Amino acid sequence: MAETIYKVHGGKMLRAKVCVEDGKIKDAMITGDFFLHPEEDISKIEKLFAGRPIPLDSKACVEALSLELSESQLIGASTQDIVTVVSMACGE
Amino acid sequence: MWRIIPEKDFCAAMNMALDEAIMERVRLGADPTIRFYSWNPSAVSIGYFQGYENEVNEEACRSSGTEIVRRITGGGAVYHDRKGEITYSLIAPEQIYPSEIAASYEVICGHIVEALTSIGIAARFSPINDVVINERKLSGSAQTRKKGVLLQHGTILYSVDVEKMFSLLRVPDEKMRDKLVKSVMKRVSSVKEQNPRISRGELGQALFHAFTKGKKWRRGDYLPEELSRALEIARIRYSERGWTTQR
Repeated sequence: MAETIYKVHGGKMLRAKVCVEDGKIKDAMITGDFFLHPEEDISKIEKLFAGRPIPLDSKACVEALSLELSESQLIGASTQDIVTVVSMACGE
Repeated sequence: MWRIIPEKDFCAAMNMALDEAIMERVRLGADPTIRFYSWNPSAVSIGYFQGYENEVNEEACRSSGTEIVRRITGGGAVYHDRKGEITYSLIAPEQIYPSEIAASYEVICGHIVEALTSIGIAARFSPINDVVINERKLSGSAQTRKKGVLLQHGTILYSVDVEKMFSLLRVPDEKMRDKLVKSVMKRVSSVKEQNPRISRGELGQALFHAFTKGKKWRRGDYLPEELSRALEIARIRYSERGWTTQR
């Protein structure tokens, strides 16, 4: 399990904890002092990364995450920030 | 008509449970409610998305008798000193406020700005969710919306002991603790620091007037059914270690 922390410029703190197995993300947990509405959508974010090979295709992840959160309000961080912190946790 | 409940103190689990119990009733058509409260004993609350072990020094909290609770709202870890702050919760149908959450923070935090301005503290709203004076934070808030009901709660710092706060919270890098404490002391202020002549009671009155201004309101109290429902929610959720340590 690898963990990293990332301060969003002008925003909140993000932490990603990822478990990588056989070159893929087995699971990811995103924590921090951001806001997400509805709060339950955190599971959508974390499920999105499961099974993805590393290194992450950042552009594809941001697009997929933005689509997944199209009905949500993410405050204090962006979808790019979330992909960045997960990538950092994967050692990129 | 708004129901305004003057300040009372409760334990951490009960404070959070009362918010939920009132949300349930507002969802069914009860009057929107603003309540003021404090925390007895003092407590640390962490945001819904925060990692428990990353944020809380459990041993320090236990030895000092400080309770720990996870909120249903996002945001950061907050130390709620029993006498050092006043907390508010505003619970209302969400259609009363802008649908864009960032905009609704500005509206509700505007009451805090008005209260502080009325007692001579030139505060301003600082997006996303803070009220500051000269870039130093006096108040933070957090919001959630569930089933058509908005809950925004937050603290207004009357006096703050930054070193005590940091003894109970974890920092990202222990090597940076001293530097972080000094940095936070520069970035956080309190009403008492701004004007030692203002009493906590005067702050409470200013908040009461600012939050009720322009509203039709009545002074109220917790209903027996709210208190019993809150006790149940406190028991099944906020007192449960599984809930508190879920992330």
